[in-house]
Amino acid sequence: MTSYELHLAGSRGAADHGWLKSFHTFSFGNYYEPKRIHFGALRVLNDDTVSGGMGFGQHPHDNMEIISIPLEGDLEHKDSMGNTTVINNGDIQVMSAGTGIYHSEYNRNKDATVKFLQIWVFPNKKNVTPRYDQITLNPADRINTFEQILSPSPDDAGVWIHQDAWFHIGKFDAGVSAEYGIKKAGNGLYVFVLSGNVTVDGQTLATRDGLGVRDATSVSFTDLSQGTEILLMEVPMQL
Amino acid sequence: MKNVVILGGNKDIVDLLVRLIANYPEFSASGFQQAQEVLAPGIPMDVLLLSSGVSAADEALVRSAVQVPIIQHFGGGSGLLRAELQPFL
Repeated sequence: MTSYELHLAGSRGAADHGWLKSFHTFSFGNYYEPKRIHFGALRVLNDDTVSGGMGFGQHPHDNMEIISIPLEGDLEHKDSMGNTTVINNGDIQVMSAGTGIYHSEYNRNKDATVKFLQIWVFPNKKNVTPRYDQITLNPADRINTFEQILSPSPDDAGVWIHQDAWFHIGKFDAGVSAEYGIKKAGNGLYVFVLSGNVTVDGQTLATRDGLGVRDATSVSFTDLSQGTEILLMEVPMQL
Repeated sequence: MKNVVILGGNKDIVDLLVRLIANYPEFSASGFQQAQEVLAPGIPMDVLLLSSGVSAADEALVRSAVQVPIIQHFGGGSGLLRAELQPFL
């Protein structure tokens, strides 16, 4: 039987470090809530705002699939594999940390904030060779449909990670309805509303609300308000 | 005070984890890169934290030899550390 886990935007953990304001859907840093450690393989969903010119100094990661989705501004990335890049709205960046990687992330602009989602997914394979990739998406491809932005396969649309996970983004006009079919039996779907209002299988969600859906084969999206943007993260529920 | 022993193949990450854990008043930490070092007599250990780059043989060895809870650490010196250690307080 399908079950649901509702995380209203205001119930997320909040951190204010001055230069960084972050909302944590799952336990992270000083926010610890035993009931919110992860949703299947989805371990981190941080909604970060970084002040102009500021950022995360060089720090390591290992054995984690790390996805960054910029929402506003320019985020500069440097890593120990020699990559120096800038990502902005419309891009998606992925790192497989594997045996270990160092990187830094800074707001490239001194006079504008950066907003981005930082998403960490447990890998299905430990100690892989670290890798980095980023692509630029075409915003037109997500209008009134769910555009695939991540999958387990290098040959499929979007970036890929070491996990049986699929991410999609959609931006909808008012009055449109949509359906998402689970790609792999047993996977769950985490719905995160970037902006707007939507009813998901009868549950009303607003901006930055999240809903975990378990044991479903498809999920329906109705009552969409004009311009509603939704991020879908399908992930394995068994680790 | 709980003694956390870290086993990881990446020395820089292990050193960082030691520093981060040492900042928590409830924990002390020591780090090693080889399973044999972890299993040496006299190492105080209440929790074993496995970082990245541990060979399958070393992981199997420590899993069979130690009697304390083992945490699989993900994410380097990251925001996950506190939540991983919290259940052992």
